[in-house]
Amino acid sequence: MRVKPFFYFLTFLSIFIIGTTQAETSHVILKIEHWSTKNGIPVYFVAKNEIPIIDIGVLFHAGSAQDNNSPGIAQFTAQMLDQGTQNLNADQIATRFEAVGAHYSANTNQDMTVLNLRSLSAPQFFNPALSTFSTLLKDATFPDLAINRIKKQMLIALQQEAQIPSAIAAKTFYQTLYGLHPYASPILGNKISIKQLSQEKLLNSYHHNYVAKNAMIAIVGNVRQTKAMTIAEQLSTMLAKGETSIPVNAPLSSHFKSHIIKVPYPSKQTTIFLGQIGIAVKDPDYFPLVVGNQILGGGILTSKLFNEVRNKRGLCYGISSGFKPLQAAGPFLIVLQTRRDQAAKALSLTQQTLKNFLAKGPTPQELQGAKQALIGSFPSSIASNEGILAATEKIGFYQLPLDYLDTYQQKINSVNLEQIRHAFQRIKSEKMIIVMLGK
Amino acid sequence: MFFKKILVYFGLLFLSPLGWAGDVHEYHLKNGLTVLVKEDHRAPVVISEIWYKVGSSYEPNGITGVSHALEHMMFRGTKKFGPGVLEKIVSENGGEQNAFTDSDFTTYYQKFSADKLAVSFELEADRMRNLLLRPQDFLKEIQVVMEERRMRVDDNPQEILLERLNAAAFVASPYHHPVIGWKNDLQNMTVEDLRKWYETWYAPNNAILVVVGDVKPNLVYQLAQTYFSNLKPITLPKIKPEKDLSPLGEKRLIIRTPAQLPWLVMAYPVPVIKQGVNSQDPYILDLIATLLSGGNSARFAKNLIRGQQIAADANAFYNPVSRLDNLFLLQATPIPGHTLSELESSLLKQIKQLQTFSVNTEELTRAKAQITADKIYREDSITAEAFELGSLAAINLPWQIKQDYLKRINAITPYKRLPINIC
Repeated sequence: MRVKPFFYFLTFLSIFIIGTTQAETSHVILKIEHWSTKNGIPVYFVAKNEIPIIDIGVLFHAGSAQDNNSPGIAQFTAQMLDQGTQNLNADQIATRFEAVGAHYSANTNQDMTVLNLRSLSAPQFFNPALSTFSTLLKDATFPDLAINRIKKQMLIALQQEAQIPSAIAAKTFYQTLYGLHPYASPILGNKISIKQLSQEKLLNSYHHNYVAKNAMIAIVGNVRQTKAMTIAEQLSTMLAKGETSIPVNAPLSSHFKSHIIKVPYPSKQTTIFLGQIGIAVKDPDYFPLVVGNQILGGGILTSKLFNEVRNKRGLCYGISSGFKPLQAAGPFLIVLQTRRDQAAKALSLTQQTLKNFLAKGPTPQELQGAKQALIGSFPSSIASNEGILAATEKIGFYQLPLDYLDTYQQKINSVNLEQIRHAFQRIKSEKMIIVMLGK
Repeated sequence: MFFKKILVYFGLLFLSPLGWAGDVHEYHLKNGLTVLVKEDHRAPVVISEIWYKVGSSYEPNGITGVSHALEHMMFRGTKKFGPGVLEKIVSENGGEQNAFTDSDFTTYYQKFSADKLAVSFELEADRMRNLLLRPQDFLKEIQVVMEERRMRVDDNPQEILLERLNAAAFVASPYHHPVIGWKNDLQNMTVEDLRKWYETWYAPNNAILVVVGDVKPNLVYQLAQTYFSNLKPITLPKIKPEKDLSPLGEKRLIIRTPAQLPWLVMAYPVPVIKQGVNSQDPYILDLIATLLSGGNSARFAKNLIRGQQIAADANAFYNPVSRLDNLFLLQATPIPGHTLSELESSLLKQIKQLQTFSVNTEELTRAKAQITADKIYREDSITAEAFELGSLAAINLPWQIKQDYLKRINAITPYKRLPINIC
């Protein structure tokens, strides 16, 4: 890659926000069909026939929060699925997918492992792709040779992480914030835990987690519902009934005053993460917090943090704040990086901006602007099949109501100033975890 | 893998006709503004982009990075939309906006609900000729740009290597210098440098308006006339012929910078698609990049990552859509226990095998299927569609090139001659 274009801004927080529709529309914007397979797997389906493609997501409650004594095992297990099955080796699996132009991917975060398949919808392409995909759910064999190779690659991935300032800072932030809670566990694991993984442990993780009771299926694309039902059955018959994973507990906020962690790193900039425990996906304060955060640091180019720290003073390139809602409470965090000699100044300005916001709350004009931005930008978040799949996966996985997208607009619209002020009382500017990474 | 994304969408061979893929409509305003419109009615949204034919490869020494710095200042207010107003208007209309600068172009865009297209046009029309460029804003914004450089280049070992690699590989070509500019040039840049640059390049006859989404092409054209037709064209500088020099042999570069992992990059000067030059080479090179690293079944994954287990990752990059001749890149990270020179030999062997062993039919068909499928997947994103149109038009290539692309890829048969010179 010779050059990547240089953007006016980049954001470091990928925060999941399902937006809303235009204020004037009230019709159903996405018809999500929902049923369960014979062995009880919930299925969510959206027909989109304009493009001849099908996207499938199979999600398991198998995130790094389930890793327990083997940090990294959920991610490692997911990466092993296409490394060998009873009848196919890694070369054959890759060849089968790619001969029909299909894309397969496996991703893990704190809450889940997501297996995605994107394929052309014509049967001569789709059927072979689905058949290869299905076999990964049941027949993966975790060959020792592949385990050893993936171990080496994971150790390198850890080193790669260790040369990205924001990745190290994020890891330190999660570990400090969550302490003994499972969300502290790094998704990739660590050097020692990766070396200790064995075929037995991985097979155990696979058989235990990749089961019907732990799964959810999302299908989006150029396919009729009857066919989608057949697809879901085909996938579900690959999975044993099994047991539901034990959900993670709510994390306890154990910090009574601000806590600064300095991480030495040979960089020109200091990377600053500050935050505390935020909210779970189903938190009743979700909407006031989303709208309020838009004003504080979520709104690109318009937020208070962007204005104060970047626009008025030129102290940084990237700055944003956000909530990362998870099954249990995910973090609230503010991220910025600045030249090291002005790090203290940028940090104190950020803290002061947060403090002012918490004390005064937004103005009616700011509230109105934030609502318009969130409401108006919603249609483009579900304009593509990819966006629809992501929204459907979230709704299904976190069991949000089927009309979640349709009512989102109204819920954003009904947020008032008092609700925002009240909801933000849970953010305590004097009790922040602060990570400063730099020289 | 940014480059792979540039190229998709190019006609279709083995699938039934594309009912959803609207044609591209091309219009020209009297003042020289080109308007390209593509309908996509899947959702009530639109992306509107304005592409300027100027980027870092137009910059002389001393003011490297000026295109990008100006791009930043384009968010600091115009006559009609003062400082802070522009971002507020876009945001309150539910729009998203950003801009990006590359070596061959600078692009500004908004994504709106389709009925807000006029907001975008009004704003961009004023921004094309009436930028404020206030010195007090520049003093802050140039600091932001320098922070961006620190973050994206100086604190990123791989970016440092790529920056130095370009400086070594391109001798006379303006691709020699980085898009964000050398630090010293940024430190000495003035708002007057930006003003001159703005006055030289920002005009309707040096711009392309690209609109993709839930729109009617003739209405977009009318709207474009309403907002842009009163802007005056300017006399653009005549660009002298630019040609890089022959490398005269191999160059080796060792970069020492704080990092956890060694990293190897090999670069070969290669041709790109040129108007009026009917060469198959760019298409062959693109197919080769797919054969080498287009997926988990490609040669690098099969032979270097899984087979020899010498690389943790290994990729080939090539972008045939480029104003001037560019590089074919190989990038790889060695597995511990293997040296960089062993890795280099393995990569070279893979390239040599392309010459000595002909590609088998199954492998070639698979690579073509991948390229074709990826083109269809790209149709899912209006952003990708707009990028494709704009990046061709910005370097004066007809957008029709994309129509023929798959046809040309599919015409490639196992070849004897490789369009890369390896010593």
